[in-house]
Amino acid sequence: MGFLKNLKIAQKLTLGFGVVLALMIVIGAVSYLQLEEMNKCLLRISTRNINNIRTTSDIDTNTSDIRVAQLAHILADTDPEMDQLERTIADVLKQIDANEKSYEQTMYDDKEDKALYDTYKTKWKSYMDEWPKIRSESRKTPTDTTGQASKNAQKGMNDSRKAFDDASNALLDLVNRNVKNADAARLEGERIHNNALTVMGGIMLAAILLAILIAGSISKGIARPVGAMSRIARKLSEGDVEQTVTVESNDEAGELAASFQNLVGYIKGVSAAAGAIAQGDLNAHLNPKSERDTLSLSFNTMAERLRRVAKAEKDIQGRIQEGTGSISSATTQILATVSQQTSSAQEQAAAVTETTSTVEELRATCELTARKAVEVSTIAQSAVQIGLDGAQAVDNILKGMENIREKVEAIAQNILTLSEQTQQIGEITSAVNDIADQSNILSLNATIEAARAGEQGKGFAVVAEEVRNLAEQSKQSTAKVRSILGEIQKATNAAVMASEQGTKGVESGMVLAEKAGEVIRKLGDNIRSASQAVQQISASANQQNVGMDQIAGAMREIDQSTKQFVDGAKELESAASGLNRLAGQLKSMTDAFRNPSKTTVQTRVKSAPPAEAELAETH
Amino acid sequence: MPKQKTSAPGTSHELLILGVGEELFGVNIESVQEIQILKGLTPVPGTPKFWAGLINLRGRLVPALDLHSYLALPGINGASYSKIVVVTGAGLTVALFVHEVKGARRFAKEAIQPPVRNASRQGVEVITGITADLISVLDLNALLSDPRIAVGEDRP
Repeated sequence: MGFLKNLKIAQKLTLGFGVVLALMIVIGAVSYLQLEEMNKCLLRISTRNINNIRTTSDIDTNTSDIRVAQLAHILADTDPEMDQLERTIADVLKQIDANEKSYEQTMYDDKEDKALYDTYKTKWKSYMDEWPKIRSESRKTPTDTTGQASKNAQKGMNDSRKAFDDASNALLDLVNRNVKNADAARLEGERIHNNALTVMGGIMLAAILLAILIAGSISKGIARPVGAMSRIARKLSEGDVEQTVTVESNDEAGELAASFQNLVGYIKGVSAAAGAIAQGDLNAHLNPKSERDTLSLSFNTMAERLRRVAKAEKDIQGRIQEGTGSISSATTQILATVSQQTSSAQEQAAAVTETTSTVEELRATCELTARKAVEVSTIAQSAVQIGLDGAQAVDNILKGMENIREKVEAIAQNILTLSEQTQQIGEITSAVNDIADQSNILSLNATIEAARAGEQGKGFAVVAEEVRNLAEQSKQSTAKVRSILGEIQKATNAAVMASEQGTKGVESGMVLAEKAGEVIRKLGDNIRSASQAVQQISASANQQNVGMDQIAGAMREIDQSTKQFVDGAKELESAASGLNRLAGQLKSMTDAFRNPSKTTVQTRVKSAPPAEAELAETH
Repeated sequence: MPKQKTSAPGTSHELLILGVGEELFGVNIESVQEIQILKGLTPVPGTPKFWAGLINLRGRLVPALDLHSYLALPGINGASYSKIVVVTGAGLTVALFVHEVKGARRFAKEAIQPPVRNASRQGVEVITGITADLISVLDLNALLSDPRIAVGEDRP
């Protein structure tokens, strides 16, 4: 395959596809020829053998039909039946003629076939020659009473049987031969088919092998240099410019490899210049390969700009240094403030939580107040009723007091009367006492007179003594009565006093009862107004309860918000600390910029992504 | 009226028991004329204190003697006297102021003991004895013979 190296890729492809196309043409031609052969076999079977078998079989059937009709003719008793049978025989004979003509067109040019067909012809002709005689005999049978005609006809049919059997056998032999011929043609067809399969398989195998060979060779010739250049290009894309292209080929791949080598060299040059700039040599310069070499031109412009930027950078670095310092201090301050804010927010959250719980307690207290207000309202209602009862009771008391006052007055009157009567009794008693005194004195005088009378006055002295004793007893009795009267007097006086005091007490009791009634009425009014106030309180407590629910809900929301605020403050704190770290890093970066000799460009580039990541975290 | 003499020993005396204040006095019942309720006393000026006044006794003026004052007894004054006992002795008839008259009692001569010497200086002369139940026996003759009594009343 060495000659392939000197061909262009288009030529290689054309050669390969041409070889494959030629092989396919060969396969097509062979296939066509084989199919033609098979078609012939099929045609022979379908047009000749099958037709021969059909026609000979039909003829055999037709001859049998004619014989059956003839036998029926003999047996028939009437002329119309016979006429009908004769017409049938004539029709079947026409079919035999048609089948014979068809067979003669397709029959093989074969001796045995022809001999058999001639045998059939001659035998069938001799059989049919007998028929007119038999028919005439048969026609006689309806009118023939002797039966001779029938017998003659039957004899004729028996005699002609030999010729019929011969013709029929010849036809069967023909059928068998044609079947054999058809089998032979089928076997021929199968043989041709197998041959064709073998030949075509071999050719196709050869063509596939050849095609694989050519395709492998061509693809190898194209893919190898392209793969090598691809590897080099990948390494170039990774930044490795120290590459050498080693492709020895005269086709387009070779040319591409050469151009690729030039490109590698060009990139090496640009890379070296960039490396020099990276090392701080800003005087690097590239020679443009052509006027359209925008990379080199741009690179030179860029180097020029860099030189200018480097000058400006020293000024900016100072400012950045100051800026980063300011940022660092500001972020520190922010961090402190945010920490303070976070702690404040946490305190606030705690306070809000506490307030929320207090509001909950307050709400519970409000509910309790509402319940108590309802209870108090009920109590006030019953108190109003009690007040009414009390007023009624006071009225009753007043009536009772009035009653008592009347009674007491009556008692006082009675006592006064009693006192007067006692007085009268006292007067009477005084009179009795005086009488007793006088009686006593009289008795004493009588005693004196008796004593003066001496012995004669002794009996009188006894009487005088008795009188004196009686007077003494009267006096003692009057004294007792007087003392009793005195006690009665005292008692009546005390009763009068007591009744007066009782009257006064009743009057003051009535005044007090009226006052009490007034007080109870006022108390009832107050309780009624208090009950109304309590109902208002109850309504207010319910409203307050609703309000407290709203406050509780609001406090919960505030609590939630504060917690979110605390979370946010924490996040802000972490963000601020991130910012602080970032400021530190920025400061170290600017320090590195100030002293570029201490750090390399690579480290600066690597240090950037983490800062960005932290920035991303803070948002 | 005849002069009464003290009873001889071995005989009995019938005494009228007079109550003056706390004290009980017994006088010979034969010296007593009558007993009356005190009324119609007319004080007489210029007489000793024990002379309470004059009493009109059925048309006859009788001087009233306040025994309590005369005997200078302690205790009550003579304002509440209710009765008078008209007695005679030594030719005089006087009304004695008493609170009450207890009646007449008979005493044996032995039952009357001599009076206590120290009892009362002024009364010693008129008290002649004392019974077991502390009744002072008053000698009306001695009493009415007292020179202090004589103040120029009418003499019977």
